Amino acid sequence: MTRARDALRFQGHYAGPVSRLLAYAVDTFLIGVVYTAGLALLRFAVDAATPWNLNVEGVVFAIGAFVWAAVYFGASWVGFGRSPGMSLLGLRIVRADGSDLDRRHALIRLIAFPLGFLTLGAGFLGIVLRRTRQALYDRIADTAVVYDWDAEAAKLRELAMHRRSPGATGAQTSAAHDGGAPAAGAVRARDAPADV
Amino acid sequence: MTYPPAQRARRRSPCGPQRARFDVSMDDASHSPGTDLVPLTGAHVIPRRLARAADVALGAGARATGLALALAGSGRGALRAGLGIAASLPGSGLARDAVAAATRPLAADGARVREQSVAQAQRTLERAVPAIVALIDVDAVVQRIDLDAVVATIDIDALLSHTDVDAVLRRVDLQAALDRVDLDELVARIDVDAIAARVDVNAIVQRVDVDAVVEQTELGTIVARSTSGFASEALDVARAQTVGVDTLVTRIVDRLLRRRAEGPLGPALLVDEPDAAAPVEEPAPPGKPPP
Repeated sequence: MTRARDALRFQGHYAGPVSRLLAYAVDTFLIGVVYTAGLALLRFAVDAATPWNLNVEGVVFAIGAFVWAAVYFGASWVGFGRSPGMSLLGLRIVRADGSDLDRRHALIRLIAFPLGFLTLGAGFLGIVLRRTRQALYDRIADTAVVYDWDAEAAKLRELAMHRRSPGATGAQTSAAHDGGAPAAGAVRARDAPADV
Repeated sequence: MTYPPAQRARRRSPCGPQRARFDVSMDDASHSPGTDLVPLTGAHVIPRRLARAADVALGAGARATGLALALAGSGRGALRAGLGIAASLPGSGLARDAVAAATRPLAADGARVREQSVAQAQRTLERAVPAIVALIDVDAVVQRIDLDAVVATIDIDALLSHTDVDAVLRRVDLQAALDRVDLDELVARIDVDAIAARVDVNAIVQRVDVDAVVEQTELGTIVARSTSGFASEALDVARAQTVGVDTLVTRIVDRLLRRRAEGPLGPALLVDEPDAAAPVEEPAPPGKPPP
């Protein structure tokens, strides 16, 4: 189990497959919710304001979803270097050398992104198998995904949370600070490796 | 200490012209030329013939005294034997009493004269000693003393071993000494900038356990109030847990793929490792040097 204070040292490292999968799941969920909600609002507006009925189904619905997903990812990658799901999981897209993602490489990544699906998922295997955690579209666009969130603030929040709740963890850390033998698990943050 | 002739003459003759006249008349070896220590300031010049006669008289007296003392020394044994024989004769006690009675007034007179002589000598010395001391050139005396040699003869260790330092310190009034110290002036003379320049602040900061400061003080609470909410804390935990699962998956994959060497942790610009972005090389077989 990795504590928030221990996650500080992972910042800038290549993001693993679970984080990226969860980020993509969040993005997919948001894309679907927003697309469905937007389509419903549009249909309601058309029904209310016009004599026609807007019936988006089948291929049109899929194409619309694809376009919306492209806009979603393209705008977020170009504008912020991360999608909302990545932001939630604390991930960021960078160039392979670590520099910031520019618009050109963001668009290349966006265009190459469907290759992961068109190869029946083989394009995503690089996230699991490669040391640099680069999918096929990452290699094409010369990009990488790294952990990047305000882990320093997270660590302070965790320490403050222990201060507010004098439970078992607080007692353990207090014992360690007082020079006594710390209880099991009460290892100093800077001395302990990540317990994963 | 040796002075050049001109300087020595100047030191012996603080009164100038009179000193020069005296040097001319005192070139004879029979007269004392004085010394560096006792310059003959204000001495009277004695006629040469009178000085010669006085020297002859003193020489004759000295020789007669020496002869008398030699005779007395040789006849002391005979006198002691004669007195022993006389003391053993009958009536010697009466003779001794008679002699004692007869010599008692003489002894009293002698004692009185001796006391007067001692008193006179004391008075003479009281007048003479200051004059003699005044004649002595103390500077010349001091300069003739080899202070290094004198100090070398002093056993400092023995001296200190006999010194009760504690007793000395007990007699020192430290409070009074401190009261006389102007601390403001002392502090004003301290170059605080120079001291601060020698302090490695980074090293001090490195020794501060910031985690403990935040955790044990209200600083953590302040930070938490300003930056956190329940969602933030939950998100922190979720992210940390996800990182842990990622690491676990990575270990499993590395084990399945039998990877031994650890790969780059992240892009070169984002991690501290210098070769983080370098391609991973397989370890060279034993006995074969790497390219």
